[in-house]
Amino acid sequence: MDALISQLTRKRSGDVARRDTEVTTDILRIGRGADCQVYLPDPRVPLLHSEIHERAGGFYLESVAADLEASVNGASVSTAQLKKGDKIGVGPYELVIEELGGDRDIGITIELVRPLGATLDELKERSRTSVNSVLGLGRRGWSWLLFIAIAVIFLGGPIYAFYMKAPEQRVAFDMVAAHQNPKNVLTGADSLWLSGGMSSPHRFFGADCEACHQEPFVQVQDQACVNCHKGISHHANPTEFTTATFAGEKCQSCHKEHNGIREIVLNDQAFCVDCHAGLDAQEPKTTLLNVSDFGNAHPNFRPTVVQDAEKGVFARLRLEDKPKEMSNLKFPHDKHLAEKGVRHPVKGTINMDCGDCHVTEPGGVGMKPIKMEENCIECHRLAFDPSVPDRWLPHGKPVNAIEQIREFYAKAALEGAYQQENSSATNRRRLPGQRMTEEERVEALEWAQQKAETVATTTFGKSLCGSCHTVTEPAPGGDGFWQIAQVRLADTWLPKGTFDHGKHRDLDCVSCHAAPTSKTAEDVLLPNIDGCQGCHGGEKAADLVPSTCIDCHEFHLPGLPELKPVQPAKQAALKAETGKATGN
Amino acid sequence: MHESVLVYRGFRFLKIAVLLGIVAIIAYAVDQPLGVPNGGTWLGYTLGTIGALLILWLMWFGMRKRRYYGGANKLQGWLSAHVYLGLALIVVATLHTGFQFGWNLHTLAYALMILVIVSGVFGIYAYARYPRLMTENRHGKTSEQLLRDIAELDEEARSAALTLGDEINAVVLEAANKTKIGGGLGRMLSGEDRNCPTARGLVRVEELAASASGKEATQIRRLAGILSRKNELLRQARRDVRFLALMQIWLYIHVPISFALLAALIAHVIAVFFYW
Repeated sequence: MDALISQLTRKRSGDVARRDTEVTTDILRIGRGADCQVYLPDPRVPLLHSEIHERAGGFYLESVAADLEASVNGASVSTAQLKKGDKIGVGPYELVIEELGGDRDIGITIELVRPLGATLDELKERSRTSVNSVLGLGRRGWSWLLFIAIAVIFLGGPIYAFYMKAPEQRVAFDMVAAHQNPKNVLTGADSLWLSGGMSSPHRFFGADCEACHQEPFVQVQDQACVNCHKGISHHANPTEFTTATFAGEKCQSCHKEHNGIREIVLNDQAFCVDCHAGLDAQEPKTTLLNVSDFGNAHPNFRPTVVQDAEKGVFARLRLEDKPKEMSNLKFPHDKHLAEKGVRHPVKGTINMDCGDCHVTEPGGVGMKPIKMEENCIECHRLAFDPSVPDRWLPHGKPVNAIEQIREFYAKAALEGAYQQENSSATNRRRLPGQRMTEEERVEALEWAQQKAETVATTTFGKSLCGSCHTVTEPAPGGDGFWQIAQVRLADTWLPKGTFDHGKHRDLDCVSCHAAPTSKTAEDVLLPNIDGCQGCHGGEKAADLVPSTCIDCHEFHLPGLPELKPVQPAKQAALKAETGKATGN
Repeated sequence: MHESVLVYRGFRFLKIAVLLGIVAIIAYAVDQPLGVPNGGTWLGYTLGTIGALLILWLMWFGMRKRRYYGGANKLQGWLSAHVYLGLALIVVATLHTGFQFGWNLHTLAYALMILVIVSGVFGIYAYARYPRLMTENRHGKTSEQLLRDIAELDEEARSAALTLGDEINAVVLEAANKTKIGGGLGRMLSGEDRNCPTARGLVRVEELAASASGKEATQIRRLAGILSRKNELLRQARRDVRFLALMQIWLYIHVPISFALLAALIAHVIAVFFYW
């Protein structure tokens, strides 16, 4: 077949340049290969794409391989009979059948309709080489976005949450309601501002910021504390001691919240020592001694001991002056704790230890007071007649005791049941039904009275009461009676401090209390402070138990006047101002 | 960045910053606040105020550096102070916290501040290290020149492949049309493209070269040479992009996070006194 192959090149001006090539061939090959008559030099075209054959008066386009379809007038075909004007797409080329079966067998124009783009420009277009191009907003945009987001969430949120609460909700915190409906899991925006965990006692209402923070930009007022902590007492009597008012200080000067579960009661030694290191200079009237550190600057103990048990007179005396507890009681600790033991009325010889009498109170801090009926009577039985060992006199009521003795012997005499070798004939066993004569009766009562007096003298004087008590014998011939001196013991020798016996239960009692060598109840069995200082040091002690003031001493002392919340400075100033204006 | 910024006037600002840090540490060690150390003690308020003022001043550098009227030398002094006082801020702000941290606004502000400072430290490192690496990597070319060379090699490869088989042409075409430099943030920062069409193409072309013979084999090997050169240029270009990205990316943390910090700082100060 004769073919005219025309290469069209479109210029920028729109003109079309045309380069014709004439060929004579049996088969017209289309492809990138050098042997193709329709030569399409583009990598997107296969070496041999398709062929045009002439058969039976027609021209046919045939794809070379099944997967290389050509498009004729837009439709994909593998074989097609060609007509004049058909458009064949091969890769980026468009071939148009201009002539068919005319002067020449076939005329085809070739035009590269989709050229490969400018390689450099395309490479640049595909590539992104600047961070600016991928981070969208740019630095300024991101800055604004983050600034606004943080401000809205972390500033707007909590402020909105605060003002959403009704004002009365902010000033009238109800502790009982808070107890019943605890909100210890902070919810909502409020929690974003929480600077630190609540102390354990306040944790249960931790979500109610306004329970304490009642006004924005105003420090927590004492009134907020006193709303719950009613009746909290002073540290010293403000009418006696000017510094005891703590003017200018607030509850929160000492009680710092939002420091985690740490106790809100701060135990810093400095709290106390700033005044107590030189208290005598600040408060000349004080009887307290200066103190600045438990380890090395704490005065020795000054126990408060009984001076006059009868009148209830106590005195606070220096321990080194060997004060005596004038309790009117006789009690030798050494005999009770003797290694050889003591005699028990039933069990024989036993060994006693401190715990047989001294036990801690529930809670384990203090010791229960010693009571005759609980601690002594097991051995010191108040039996007065060997024939009735289970019959005991009442303790603490000497008049009743005497009456009981008298009645006992009177009854015994009248019943005649009393058997004693040297008793009168009247008292000897009588036969049943035999009545006592008047004479015998008088004789029996006389005997009973004598007997009662003798027993009472022994009982009160020596064998029973007198072994522990100071007993005064009645004047002979008078109507007086046995007097037992009033007993009074100090509840605690150190009332201004608290010693926790429970925390020291692993120590031997005698390591502090020299009871085994104490011969008299007048001994004040307290250790000197160096006994404590063997284990306890000041707040900063490194090799001893660090101990601060409030480990033993309370700040708000019971029995002192109630602490009234100080008015907010603003209100106080306003009040003073109005006072001046009216001349008051 | 020139090293002169760090050694500016005999480390003047380093000395000031160290002094500030030492004074803060001594004050913290000496101070015996009631309770535990925290931002609400007198020392806490003091350190907090110093820290807040430092943050504002450090951020002012962003405004200051746009003005050149003071001359480059003056700006260098500012940058030197910015770097050292920014580092001193770590000490001041950490002591201000009293080491109390939690899931709240206050610790958020601290965390943002640390993020800003750490990104700034990276910036110092980037500006000290990458410009030199970039120069070395480019071998005296500009990045534009690198791209142009790559494009030229693409065209060379295409014409070298025309007479070769269809598969090779497809490979060469893909290598030219799909290969890109950079792309997403990850690609930029990693400086490589594990699925680079050119690298893949080179492997395939070499395989085909091994199975070909005669004149065709020579042609394919020539093509492989072209692709290999292109591959080398691509690696250079990608490293170039990586260094550039590293020098840019830290500012995308440093600047926006410092504005986030500013918001958190304002909120922190208001919060503390709102609930005083």
